[in-house]
Amino acid sequence: MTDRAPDYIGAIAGARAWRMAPSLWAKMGGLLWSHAMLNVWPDCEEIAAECDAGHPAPAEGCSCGVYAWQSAERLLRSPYAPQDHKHIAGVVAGRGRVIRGETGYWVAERAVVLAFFDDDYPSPVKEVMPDSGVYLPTKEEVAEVYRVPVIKHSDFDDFCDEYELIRF
Amino acid sequence: MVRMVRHGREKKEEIFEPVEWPPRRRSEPSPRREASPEPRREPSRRKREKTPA
Repeated sequence: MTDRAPDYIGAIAGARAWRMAPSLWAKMGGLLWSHAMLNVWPDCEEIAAECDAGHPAPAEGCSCGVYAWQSAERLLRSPYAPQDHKHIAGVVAGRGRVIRGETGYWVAERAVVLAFFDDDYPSPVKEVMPDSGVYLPTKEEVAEVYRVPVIKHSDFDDFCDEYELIRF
Repeated sequence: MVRMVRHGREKKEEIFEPVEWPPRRRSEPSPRREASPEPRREPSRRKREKTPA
């Protein structure tokens, strides 16, 4: 965190998507992964960005930080919107240092998941290996583990207002 | 951390500092006060003193 006086007393509203853990190994690390499977979100916990370069994240000229779109609409217009059952999207809140891009994204120091979006790609129930009794996560399971609601994309604004998130 | 190509112009860094973290639903009642672990005391009864007859 920083000693600087805050510019906003509140968390920033965001929408983003994740790849759900595609293997037992991945599931052991966490249910939600970045698209490229390079970073895992700790289940039900705040994610705090760190930079390998050693400076506080996010920073100008560096790609470190926690990313989200400023609205569900922006997410849906982006190439990151779920197009299959392997991906899930939801509402996040960001705090701390935040850099807003003019194309509708933000990069934050910290973020938490507050809801998931209902979509047209239900997860099939699938074992990690035949007869293993261990299953890959489904969207329902992810929402249950996180104990957050599943909402429609069109409810994004109302949901954020209910949580007093700052929308742009 | 999360890597993505950032493009376009960006605003200067801003600080978002919520009073409550993680954010809670506005209509959600604030956490209830926990009941005092001490058992409720019975009102003390005065011992009746024997009065001389």
